[in-house]
Amino acid sequence: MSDSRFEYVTYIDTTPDKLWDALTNPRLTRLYWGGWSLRSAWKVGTPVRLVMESAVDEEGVPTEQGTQIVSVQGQVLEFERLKRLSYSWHVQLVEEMRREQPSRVVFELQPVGQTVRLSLIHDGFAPAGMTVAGIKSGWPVILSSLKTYLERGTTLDIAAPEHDETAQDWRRGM
Amino acid sequence: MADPETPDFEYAIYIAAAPETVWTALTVGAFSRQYFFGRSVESRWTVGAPFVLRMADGRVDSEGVVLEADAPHRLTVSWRVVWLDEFKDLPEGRVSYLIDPVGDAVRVMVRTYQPQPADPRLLEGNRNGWPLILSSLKSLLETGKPLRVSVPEPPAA
Repeated sequence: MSDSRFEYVTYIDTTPDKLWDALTNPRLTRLYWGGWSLRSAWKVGTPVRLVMESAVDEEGVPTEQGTQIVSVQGQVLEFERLKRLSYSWHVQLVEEMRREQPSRVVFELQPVGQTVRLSLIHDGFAPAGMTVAGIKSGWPVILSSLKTYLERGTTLDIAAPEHDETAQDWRRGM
Repeated sequence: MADPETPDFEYAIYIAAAPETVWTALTVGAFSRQYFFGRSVESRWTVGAPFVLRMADGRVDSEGVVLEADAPHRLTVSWRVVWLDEFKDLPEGRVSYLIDPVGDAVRVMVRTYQPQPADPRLLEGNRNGWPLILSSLKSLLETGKPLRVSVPEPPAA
């Protein structure tokens, strides 16, 4: 196990098409990513943002209509449809994390039997920073929720374990 | 030297099921056979009781002893892979399952511990095997069907 790299593999009863759509369509990410939409034009070099569009901010305080809360900001690094998706990752909402260097997310999709193997590598972190601790708790929640969504069409109702402080960060979209 | 209490592999998965249901799926052979490469788990599940992971043809895949059995939240067994000659003489390791409720779901955390220095083939076997085993367990509990992946043997380490 490494402090500067996180790997996670899951197998999902779905097709590469449906999984790719779930990973890149903001309307779908919202369903399993705690209400956050992943928005991008998905061309290499264009921005990627994890956002919540709401008439209220994260504290529930009413804001200007059309306000967008940006949780994570990044750039598309690779886009190989149905196979490989990569973007940089820079957390905006937590001061300490915003000061860390952007990290890198890489998804790879591989058909295996009647399933798709989804592998995630998240690396390039400031070692022992807050971001890596937060994502280590967060990704299994999000990817488990993605699997439930694709296999059951429902969402997982998860509250972060109370004894695990870093897991709270996933609620901010990490 | 690495801290013997630091797992060499760790994997968390969240499942829409009750802790007791997950515990049953982990400890009853008729369930494990469906998601654990066709292997049946066998044990009385009390501390000190033997534990066997048996292949469909009756051969023993792995064996050990129950170290902790705190239903439905914590299960730890010692674990020695015996079905491949090159693994038989390796020191035994340990596998822990932690099952904690989170909202309407549970988090299942698997941690493996190998004596250091860990054999790279066992590490590789863990990394390749557990995500598939636990993904299939999740599918079984959430959809009623395990994953349809024909892997006749566990991924060779």
